[in-house]
Amino acid sequence: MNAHPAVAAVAPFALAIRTLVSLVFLVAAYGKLRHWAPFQGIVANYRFLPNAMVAPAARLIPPAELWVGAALSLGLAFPWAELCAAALLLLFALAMGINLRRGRHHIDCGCFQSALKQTLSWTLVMRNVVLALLLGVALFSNDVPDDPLTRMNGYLAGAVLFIILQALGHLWSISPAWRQAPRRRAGAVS
Amino acid sequence: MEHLPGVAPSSAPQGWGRVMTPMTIMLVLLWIVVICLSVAVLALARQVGVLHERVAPAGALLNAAGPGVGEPSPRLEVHALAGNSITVGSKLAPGKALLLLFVSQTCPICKKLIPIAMDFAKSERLDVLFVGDAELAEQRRLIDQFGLAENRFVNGPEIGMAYRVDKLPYAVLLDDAGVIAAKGLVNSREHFESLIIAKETGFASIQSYLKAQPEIVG
Repeated sequence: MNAHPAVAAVAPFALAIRTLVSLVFLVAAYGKLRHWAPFQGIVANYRFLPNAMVAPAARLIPPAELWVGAALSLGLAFPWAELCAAALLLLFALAMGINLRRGRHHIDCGCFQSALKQTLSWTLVMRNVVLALLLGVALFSNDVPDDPLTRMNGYLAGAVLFIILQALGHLWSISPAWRQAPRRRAGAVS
Repeated sequence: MEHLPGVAPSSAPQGWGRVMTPMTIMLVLLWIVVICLSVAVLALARQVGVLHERVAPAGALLNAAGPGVGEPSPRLEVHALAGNSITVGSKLAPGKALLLLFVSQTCPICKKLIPIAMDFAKSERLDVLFVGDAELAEQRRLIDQFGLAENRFVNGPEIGMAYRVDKLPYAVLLDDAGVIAAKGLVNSREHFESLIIAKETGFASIQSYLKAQPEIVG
């Protein structure tokens, strides 16, 4: 490939970012497909969509995430997969942001649909925004580097970043629970 | 001209053949270390989560949601797994009490607590009704594992929703008139005993009991 040197330098970063985001989407879709029925309740809880659209949205989001994740990991549909991924991330960030402004911190984010309930926080909004911004970098290059070592670096960096993101997710879901615990107990009459 | 280590001469074969220089072996080693480290960090984070789940509830914690202590229980017609119908909140034989225990196969403390609950109920002569909300196969596994009675196990969300149960394992003690005598998050035999104490003393929870007798706290 005879890409411009600057673009060639971006390629491993783009590959890492694409791997990271595609893993985020694939794991999120897997969790939601495993717990599809409760996911509808989670979408409804956001009070973001009109009631009639909750069920279709809940049915649409997991396959959409699956498609985005698969397309990103395989490098297909460039740049639409990247744009769709960024749009989904920003849409989720918007839905979370609106609920945080409404004071509805306690609802389940439903991001990965794990057993541990993860409440909304600005950290999660920022996580989505940062991932979407990173996808902007991936828009510059869809080249898979020829050099196997560079390719391996890209994939591994993405995978390791994903593992670290998951670890951070676990920690984020704990610390707000500690801080909010006394408040929630006192005002639980709602 | 000499080549720098890690920079392959242009005549070198493409592919994996030119990759295995000392520099790249170091890089691979580094990657292995980074992967191991990040997996360790993830495991630690998960462990912190598990510890948090176990430690956070400090007593037979009473949440303010749902029908309160001293109020009549909502009357609920439910079916146990054996098919028999059970009325929660109905009048019982005088002196009897019904312990509702909300459990799940996926909650580690529940599994620790079920045998304790059965033993406790036997010694206090309580009727126990286990309540879960999960797939049938999962509940059957729980029943097999602990030798529970199918006619005393209700699978469904109704009771949990009526009492606004948000954390497991959760217990509700109903007296013979169908009034809620005590309720709360239970983690140990002491917490069950606190429910009985609450029933007998009229203190809604162990917390209010301690508040009324501050010298015990010291």
